[in-house]
Amino acid sequence: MKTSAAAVDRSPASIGAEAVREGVKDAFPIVLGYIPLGFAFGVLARAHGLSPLWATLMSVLIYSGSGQFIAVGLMGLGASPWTIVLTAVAVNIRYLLLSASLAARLTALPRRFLWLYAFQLTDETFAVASDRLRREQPQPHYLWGLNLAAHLSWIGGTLAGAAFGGALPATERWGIDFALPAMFISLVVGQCRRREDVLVALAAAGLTLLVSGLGGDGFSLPLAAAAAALLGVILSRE
Amino acid sequence: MSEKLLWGLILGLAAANYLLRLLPFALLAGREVPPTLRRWLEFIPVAVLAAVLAQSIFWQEGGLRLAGNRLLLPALLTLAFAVRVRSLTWTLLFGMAARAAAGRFGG
Repeated sequence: MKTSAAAVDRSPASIGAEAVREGVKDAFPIVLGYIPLGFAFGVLARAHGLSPLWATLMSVLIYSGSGQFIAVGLMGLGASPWTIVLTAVAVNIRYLLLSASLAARLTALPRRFLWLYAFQLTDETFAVASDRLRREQPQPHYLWGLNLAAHLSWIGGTLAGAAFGGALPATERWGIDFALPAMFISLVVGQCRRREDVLVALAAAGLTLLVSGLGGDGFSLPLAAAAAALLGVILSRE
Repeated sequence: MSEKLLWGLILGLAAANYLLRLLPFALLAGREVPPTLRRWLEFIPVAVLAAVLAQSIFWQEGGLRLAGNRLLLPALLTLAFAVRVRSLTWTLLFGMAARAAAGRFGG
């Protein structure tokens, strides 16, 4: 028997396509945020002398807002590649926590899917995915649609920013040189939920300037961050 | 930075990022992270971000710059804005506008 209406087609392929669409739909607020942020990254990368191709490659392969902004900022400060990688790892060490919290709930999914899934895990897609997983069984198609839409918007924003960034005259007059500090201000404020967070932030800021001032420029960032976080553990114990 | 070094840096960053996201799926599935380590990890992002912020404001041309720092006023204004309006995009735009305005008035 053959039915003509596509709506009653419940083959696995159509259920999969439906789930992908749902994931893409849930990615909308993320896409809204990633396009301008990706654009800002593209402009900044261009201002630091990276071509649109390099900037876009970073967004495809690294896919980490804070990691990429920090990498480009540190390149501008003339830091060594090791310092840049170490700092990016230190900033993104929270991925371990996000990933660990999802791992327990996704163990039933195929290993090959998880390898791809981990590559596209971000703070924002984590937030949407974990909200969904509280209510429903994990659906690979849904998660894939969500992650792919988010990643593509990040890549597209970067490409546009890097392409148009070169056309913007005298970037200093537009405050582009302040995009990075402004973004870090917002990220730090967003992280400061408790009194201890504020104290850790102040300690880390003071320590890194102290260590840099004493001549330990190379490792001042990871060192100051590790020590300040330890202070946070001690403070929150009381 | 040479093209070869840039490739190395980007691939290194990509690998480091991927490992951070992948390792828990491989190692930690179903296991508990020790609470002290967990709390330490929770403080790492704010510590690193604050340290990078301090560097981007106060470390200029290889030296500490406190007096006559042209980024300080826009930074304080942006901080006040960020505390009230917790939006990354708006803070970014506000900060750039504040910097551009300060630049016009002799900054």
